[in-house]
Amino acid sequence: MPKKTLTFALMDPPFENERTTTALRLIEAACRKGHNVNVFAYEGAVFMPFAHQKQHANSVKGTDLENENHPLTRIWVAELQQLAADKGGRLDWVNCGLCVDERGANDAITGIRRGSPADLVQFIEGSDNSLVIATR
Amino acid sequence: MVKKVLNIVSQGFRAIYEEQDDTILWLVHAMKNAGSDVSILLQGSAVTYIDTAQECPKLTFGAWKQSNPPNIIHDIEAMITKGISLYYVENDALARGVPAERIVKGVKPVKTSEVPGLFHKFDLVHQW
Repeated sequence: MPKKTLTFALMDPPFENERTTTALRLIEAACRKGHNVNVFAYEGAVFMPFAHQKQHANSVKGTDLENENHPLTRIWVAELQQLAADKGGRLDWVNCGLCVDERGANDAITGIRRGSPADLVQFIEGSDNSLVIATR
Repeated sequence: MVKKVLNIVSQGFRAIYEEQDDTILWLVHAMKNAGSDVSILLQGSAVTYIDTAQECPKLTFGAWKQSNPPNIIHDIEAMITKGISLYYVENDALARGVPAERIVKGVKPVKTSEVPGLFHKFDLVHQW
């Protein structure tokens, strides 16, 4: 299968709905096949690679930190970066800079770029296809 | 005397893979632990939370594997054990193909027409 370049525009913050997980699973499928993936994270989605996300125990369920092993989207994004590299592709993730500033989400994991709508334009122009997974 | 609060959950499977539970069911359970008199009404797609046929496989992203996936049935049963009353709109379950025999035992059915009457049994109704 020829390598494609796909662009995803994401809007939802982590930990609030199923769209985030669905979007990252689609991106994972593309990375696993070695395609190049661009992500333009807009609005709350800039928190997905936020470096200060922390795991916690769950007192209601009675699980400690280790057993709860709470998912963190920053780890998922880092895994996707690594997976893309391992499969010969790349994951280029751009956080909208204004959205970052508004939210104080400046500290992202390594490899995340700060950008603007111009990056989204560049992504779209250089992609075989693009998919918007918007807030509802 | 503490207020009786009915908590309505209308959307199922909202962020449960990231949170490993439903955030509102979790919150209501935590409120019960804190001394509140809370009950839950599941309606809309949230009625599928009490379908015993459901299954939540473990997620993977790259090398990361989920070790503690959500188990909503377990969470519902724990709430019943804790003394939280749970209701579901049976018309919504039937509309989604969830027959009564697959519903978690102890969750009480109410017809849509009975929901206003249910409200009158509570001091507060919280629509989440």
